[in-house]
This record gives sequence, C-alpha cells and structure tokens, in this order.
Amino acid sequence: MPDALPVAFLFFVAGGILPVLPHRHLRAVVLLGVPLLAALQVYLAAPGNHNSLELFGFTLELVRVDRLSRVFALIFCLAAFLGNLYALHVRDTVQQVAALLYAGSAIGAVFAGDLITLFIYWEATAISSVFLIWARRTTGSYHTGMRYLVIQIGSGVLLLAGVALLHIDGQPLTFERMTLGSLATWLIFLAFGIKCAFPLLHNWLQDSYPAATVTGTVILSAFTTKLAVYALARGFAGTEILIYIGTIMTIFPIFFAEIENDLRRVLSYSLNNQLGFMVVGVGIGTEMALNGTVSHAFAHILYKALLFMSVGAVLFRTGTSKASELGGLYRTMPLTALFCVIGAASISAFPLFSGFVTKSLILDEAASAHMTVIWLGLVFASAGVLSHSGIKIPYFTFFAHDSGKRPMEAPVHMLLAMGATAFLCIFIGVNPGPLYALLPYPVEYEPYTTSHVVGQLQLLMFAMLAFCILMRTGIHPPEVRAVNLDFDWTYRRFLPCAVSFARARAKGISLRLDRALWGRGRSAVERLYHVRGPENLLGRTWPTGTMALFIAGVLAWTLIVNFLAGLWN
Amino acid sequence: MTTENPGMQDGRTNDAGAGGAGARLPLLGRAFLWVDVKGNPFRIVLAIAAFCAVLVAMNFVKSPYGHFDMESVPGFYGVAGFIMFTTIIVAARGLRSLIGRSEDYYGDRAIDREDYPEAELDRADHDA
Repeated sequence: MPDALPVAFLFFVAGGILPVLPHRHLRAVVLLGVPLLAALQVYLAAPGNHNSLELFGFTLELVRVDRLSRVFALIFCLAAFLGNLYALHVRDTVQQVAALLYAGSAIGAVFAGDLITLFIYWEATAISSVFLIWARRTTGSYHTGMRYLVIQIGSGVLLLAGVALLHIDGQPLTFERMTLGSLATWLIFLAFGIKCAFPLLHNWLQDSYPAATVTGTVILSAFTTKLAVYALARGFAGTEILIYIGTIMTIFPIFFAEIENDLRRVLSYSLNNQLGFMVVGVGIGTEMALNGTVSHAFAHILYKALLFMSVGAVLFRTGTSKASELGGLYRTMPLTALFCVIGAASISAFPLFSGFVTKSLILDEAASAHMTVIWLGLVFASAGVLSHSGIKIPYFTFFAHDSGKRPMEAPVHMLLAMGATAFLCIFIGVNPGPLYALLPYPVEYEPYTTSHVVGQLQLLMFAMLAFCILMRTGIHPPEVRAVNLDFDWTYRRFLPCAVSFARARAKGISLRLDRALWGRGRSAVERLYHVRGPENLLGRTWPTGTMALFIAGVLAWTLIVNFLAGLWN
Repeated sequence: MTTENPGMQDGRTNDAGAGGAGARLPLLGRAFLWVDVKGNPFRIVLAIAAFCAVLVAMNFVKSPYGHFDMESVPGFYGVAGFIMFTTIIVAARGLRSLIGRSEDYYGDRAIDREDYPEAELDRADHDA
C-alpha cells in the first residue's frame, strides 16, 4: 500500500481538494477521514524502504517504515484526527488546509529515509504551520508569525548547510545515527535543537503558540517539537550532552510557567518542560530510555492537546485565556473542567493516568545508571509539572475565586474531541500494554509496583499539601496581568535597541569624521575643484573648433621646438 | 478551595441555592458546587493531609526500595515533594519581581495586550 502513495501525500491531496469542496459536511469527511485512512495505512505498512525517487543524482527515500517511524506517524495521525475534530466548527479554509499540510509534512518527515527528504518536509512544516498563527489575523499575530517563520526557516537552513557539508565530506545522506564532531553534524544537531526548543533556543515556542487561533494551538502543539524529538532519537541517540540539555529543559520553564498569566503560554512552557524529559531519554540512549522517550512523546501529545483544548474551549466561550480574568467556570463548563483535570492528572503522572506509565521509564533509566544529579533534577521537575500544569491550569481556570463568568459549555464536537483524548489518557494509564507493544524495543518494565505508586503519590500529594498551605498563607503568587521577560528579550528589545544605538553613534562619528577631513583637505579639494570641476578648465566641455585650435597650437609648438633643436645641433 | 468567594451565603453559594441560579446549572456543575460550600475547602486540605500520612505509614508497612539509598527512607518522596514545590513557588515569586513587566511592554508586535478577535469566538452565556 505505501508503494502506491506516500502517507504524507494523502494529506497533500486532501489539502488540494478541500478548498473546492462546497459543503461543510464534505469537508468534515475529508478532515476526519484522511487522518484515519493514513493511520490505517501506517499500521499496515510493511517495514522497509518504499517510494524511492531519483533527483539530481540523489536517491530520495520518501518512506522508510520501521518501529520508530511507525509509532510517531501513528500518533501524528491520531493527533491530526483529534485536532480536526476539535476544529470542526472552523469555516476558515486557510486553517483547514494548513492543518492538513502541516500534519502531512510532519508525517512525511518522520518517514524520511534520507536527510534531503527530511529537509524538504522540515521546511514544509514551518511554512504550513505559520498560517495557523497568521489565521488569527491581528497585528500581533502577524509579527509573531514572522518571528516564528524566521526561526523555523533558520533551523531548516542550518539543516541544509549540515547536509551539504556531509555531502562534500563524501558521507552518505541516509538519515541514521550520527556522532557529534564535525561542523556538519553540529549544524544538524543545532537545527534539531531549535525545533526541539533547547534552552536559549526555546522562545519561539512560548512566543508563537499562544498567538495562534483557538484550534491552531491544539494542532501546533502536536507536531513540530515531537518531530524534533523523533529526529534527535533517530540521529543522536546516546549523545551525552543531551542528558544535560534535557535536564535544564525540564527545570527552567517551571519558574516561568508559574508566574505566567496567559494559560496558553503556561502550557507552552509546560510543553518545553516535557520535551526535556524526552531529550534526557534520547541522551541516555539505551533501549529502555528510547522506549521511554517515544512512549512519553506519544502520551504527551495526547494530554498536552487535551489541556490546550480545554483552555481553548474557555477562550472560545469567554474571549480570554488569562488566569487573572478567569475562575469558577466549573459551574457552567463542568465537562470541560473534568477533561482538563484528566489532562492535568496525566501530565502530573498520577497513577492510572498516561504520564505515570511513560515518564517513569525515563526516570528509571536515569536512576539505574546512578545519575544522581540528573535523577534529582527530573524529580524536581516532576514536582514542578504538578505546580503549573497539574494545579495552576485547572485550579485558576475552573475553580479558585469566582470570576462571575457563566459561559456555556463547550460545543459538542469540542467535547467529543476532549472526551476521546481524555479516554486515551486514562486507557494508556490503566493499560499501558498496547502502547508498550508499539515501542521500538521490547519493554520489560512494570510501572505498578507498590514502591513506585506510593513514592509517586507521596511526591504529588505532599506537593498538593504544600500548595494548599501556600495558598492559605498568601505566599503563592497571585495571577496578575503582566508579561515576563525571557531570553527573547534579547532579539525583541535589546538587539533592535542596540542596532538603533549603534546606527545613531555611527552617524555621529561619520559626521564628525566628515567635518574633520573636510576642514583639513578643504583647500586641496577646492584647488582640485577649481581645475577639474565640471565648469572649470579641465572639466568643462570644450567646443570642437577650440580643440582643433588647441591641437594646432600643440603642433606648432612641437615644430618650433624641433626647429630650434636642429639649429642647436 | 478559596474562602473568599463573594457568592457564599449561609454555607452555600448563590448558585447552589435551591431554586436559585444553581438549579439551572448542569448536573455535573451542581455536583462540583460542593467544593465551594463553606468549610469544605478546609476539609479537602485535611483529607489531603490524612492521605499523605497514610502514604508515609505505608512506607513503614512495606519498605520502599529504589536505585538510590535515599529512596529507602520512609517519606522520602513526600518530604522531597513538599520542599521542592515550596522552593519552586518561592523562587518563582522572586523571579516575577525581576522579570515582570506591563502587558504593553512589547507593544503592537505581540499579542499580549490585544483582544482575541470576536469573529473566531462563540461567546455564549449559560443562561442564554
């Protein structure tokens, strides 16, 4: 079946025909049917390379099916289905087409068997996804989209540069495990790192995701960063530096998420924190650690989408996603609140929820390798996840003080999408076997041991107790309308100011230099001008007759000189 | 769980009152009103504390084990969770004073101060 048409092309064809479909029900069939059809195709695909293509002397492997690519493609298909179901009310063709092309590009990228194909799809994800931000159609979203596009395209350019250097070095361009060392591999690593939101390269994520449309953010949350995790797992598994990068990623977003007011930005920081766990797993690089990364990416796509969906539903009904403006919505949006709590429990890794059976694979591998500091960092980050995603999101949206808002419950299709996602979060948590069976390597791990369950519950319940005490004592920071500076301040404020300052200084120096040189060389310049200026002796245009007379004079002078010289001799 | 709910009267919220607005709330919403009944937030805190105590007691009934010696100490994860969570909140509070700015800080080039476009929304009140 894959030999007939690459899975990604299904989405591209659908994206092509969707705008000409006149009726919204037909569009709904395409938007929901294509991801399901693609999932079936992925599930049935035989391992191996399919759809090879010769181009400019390169062999492009458009579809390479193995256990790693298959599980990522499956969850991408599932995420596309759930995202499209959630967005079923959207009549904006731009968003519908962008969602299909974006999902197709991400799926194409995980099936890429060579780095050139990866690059093509890598850039396609960037270009297609920016329309989900621009679709908000405001000045702020336009500028945010431009920043997003520059960074995403920049990541692709670095990837292309790395691929070109590999080719110059005579290396094969198949997308396999690489070793950091050459400039080429570092460039590719950096390209992956930008999309994966490594520390200091992360701000595009928190900047852009809250700027997308209600439904666009749900779709954005699933693909780009997890594609980067896949790329790291494929290309740099076992690279030690990733352990440290990942640990930092798990920790630093916690503090920003805790004080952020826009709940969709809180979730973006939280997403960054969850990526850290996956990156640590890639860095450890053992079979179980990679299983942990893949399973955590799978579970994370679901519970993060669920959280974005619930906050998005609140935004859809109230017009705001700011914690300072919300509270008490459980009264009229109880189902959305319930689904949000399920997403929060999943991301916090409560037993019986999906995060518990996936994150522990990574922590267990770090512990079994006796990486004490790393392990403690991950435990610290787990407590942090509870603080901003486990408690802050549901509590300040649906409970806490009563904002007085009484919005209607989310529309039926949104509830269906949230319900299905919540069901999967619980199903994976209660019965992890089917997910474990999809992972790249055999799983020999039992998450539900007494020690593990009691230990995890202790961590979470004592943290909740601390939250209660901090709230009652007034130590917990209140939600206020504000923005918080992050590293993007360097390119959004500092660099533009520095460039303006440097330009002003350079202009001043230029003026002074001009005056100084002009003063000293003024007389020389004036003399030169006097002779060679446009209206002066050598500069002006002479009449032909005058020139003939001048030549005759020169000739006469030559004759006289010659004559006198003859007399002298 | 807050006790500062302006809607609380005589141990029940306005919404919860029989025959009041609460009668028009969805069934699940009415069930959730329990959390705002006066005294219940404190009961929830007590329940959490009791559950914490049970979890620590379980460590004495069945010794915990793990890859590190510290995991064998009864209540290790509980103490770690409490201290870590408190540290995060206190540190975040300090961080806000350093990096917090007004919503206008990035001007028109950001979405922070702009309203979400109404055309994309479907605002509707529950009572409508």
